[in-house]
Amino acid sequence: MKDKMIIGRYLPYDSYIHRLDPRAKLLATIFYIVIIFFANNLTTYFVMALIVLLGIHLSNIPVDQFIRGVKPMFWLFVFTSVLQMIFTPGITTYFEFGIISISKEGITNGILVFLRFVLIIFMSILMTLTTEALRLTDAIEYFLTPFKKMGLPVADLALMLSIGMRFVPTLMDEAEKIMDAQRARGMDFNDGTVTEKIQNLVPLLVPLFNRSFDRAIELATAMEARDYQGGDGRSKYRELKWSIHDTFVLGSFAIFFVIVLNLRR
Amino acid sequence: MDIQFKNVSYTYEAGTPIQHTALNNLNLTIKPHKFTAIIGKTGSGKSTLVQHLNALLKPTEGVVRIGNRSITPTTGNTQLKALRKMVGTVFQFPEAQLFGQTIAEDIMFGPKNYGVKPDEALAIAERTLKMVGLDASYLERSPFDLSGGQQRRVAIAGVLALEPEILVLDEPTAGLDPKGQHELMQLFSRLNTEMGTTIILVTHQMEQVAEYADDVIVMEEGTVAKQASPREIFSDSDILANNYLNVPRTVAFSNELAKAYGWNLSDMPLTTDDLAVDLMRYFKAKKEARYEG
Ligand SMILES: Nc1ncnc2c1ncn2[C@@H]1O[C@H](COP(=O)(O)OP(=O)(O)O)[C@@H](O)[C@H]1O
Ligand SMILES: [Mg+2]
Repeated sequence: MKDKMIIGRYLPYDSYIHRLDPRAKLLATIFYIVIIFFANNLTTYFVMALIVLLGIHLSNIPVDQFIRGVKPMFWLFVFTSVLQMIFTPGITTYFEFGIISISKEGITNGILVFLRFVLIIFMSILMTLTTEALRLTDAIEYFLTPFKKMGLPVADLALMLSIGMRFVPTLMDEAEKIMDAQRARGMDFNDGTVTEKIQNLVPLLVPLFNRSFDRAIELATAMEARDYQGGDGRSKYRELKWSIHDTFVLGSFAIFFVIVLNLRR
Repeated sequence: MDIQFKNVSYTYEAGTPIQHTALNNLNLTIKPHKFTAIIGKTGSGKSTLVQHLNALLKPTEGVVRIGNRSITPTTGNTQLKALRKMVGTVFQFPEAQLFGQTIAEDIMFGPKNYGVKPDEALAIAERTLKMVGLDASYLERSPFDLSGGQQRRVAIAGVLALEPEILVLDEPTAGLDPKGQHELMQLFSRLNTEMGTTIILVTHQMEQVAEYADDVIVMEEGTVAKQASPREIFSDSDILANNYLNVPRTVAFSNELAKAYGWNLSDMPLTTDDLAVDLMRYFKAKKEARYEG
């Protein structure tokens, strides 16, 4: 199961992308998603795909890791694209039946929607595979800091977020162990009808929640025992450092944006 | 049912930079109806090894044979359910798997997965609960209200309810009080001698190895460093030192006697009873020697 879950994982290679500041990667990813909504023809999508491929190449991570990340959602994407295909009215219609119409425009649109999903997922996976969860939280905390003046408890939010992130792998491990133990008692999680499949989750979720509550209480006790008084004014173990490369990457995205604006229909 | 590992390798997270080969071209045979102990330092691959016995992990290379069944890297998941009924597995800290609203429900879970009827499953639950030392009054209680040690017993009962031919135990007594540890070990030993259940026990406690095991497997960096009787293992000081293993208290005691006073007992005392007998024999021989001399 852990092997399949690629989203939320970090692969500790050493690469240009790994070394970028998490703030730069977060901004670049958001920027990318914004730009892709401006892309509306094959040429612009080609440019967007090139950007991701360049990123993947620079990250030293094998492409199959990304493909594995898309796999769980593959059919959902196909389904959405097919809906786009048959419900988009077009000029050059090949086939029509009631509200269903298959046209040249519809097919192009469907393919583009599919590509958009895949590219956004690839880009997000590129960010999470190359950035430790805690560094990402640091970046989020940084961007939230201006809201402190409005009374937002930024330090506490960041702590909650980083604790949450910190325990994702722990929970995954735990889930895997519990599933193993129930499988060893003859459970087949993929067996049966939809209702049975949902019932099958009980032997997994009950122990998982039970352990999570225990863990939360233990953690709170441990923090109080060390006299934790809230996060305001605490210094950081790892400071974020913005470098010329980060500026360069964001600058490149600005150029990509201009290119896409010029090439779009 | 013989258990056989042929050139078995297992790699976690294969194809990523964090990949780790936990079993490395491993070969071994485990005899049926015997009590086999698996020892070795933390990270030597003991847990990975035992998870191959019911195919929760499939080898990345090589073959695992359980009786006439073979598990290879390409074995499909559909063939595994029957295997998992034959091989019961108690994981480290098994109390983490409890989920039932009542203890009865939790223990009946396994048998029901194999199509046993509810009333029959309930009878099994009552019987196995008794085996782990809890009476029928516990059946209707919530497993979450019990102490850690009692939860452990219920979880073990949940595995025994499958009535497995092979019982795999991964550090089943870790964290229990001495009395609880002793009672559980007695139970496993009885299953072995009275019902002929093959027992495979992963443990860090050499006293348990000395007292109960017929055969010992020493794991070292994903391979078998040595497989032999407890007596042979505990006389092999190289193997022990290489793997940071100690000898059972009684063996340590007799070694100290030899070193401090030059008392050389005729036999290696694996249990306290052994030690008493050996000491008696030693004094008797000494006395006789004095009369003759
Ligand atoms: N789920 C896992 N993912 C990656 N590596 C693992 C996993 N489980 C165990 N390992 C690694 O495999 C090796 C053997 O582990 P394990 O079989 O648990 O050893 P033992 O039970 O003897 O302590 C260890 O180095 C451990 O870090
Ligand atoms: Mg272990």
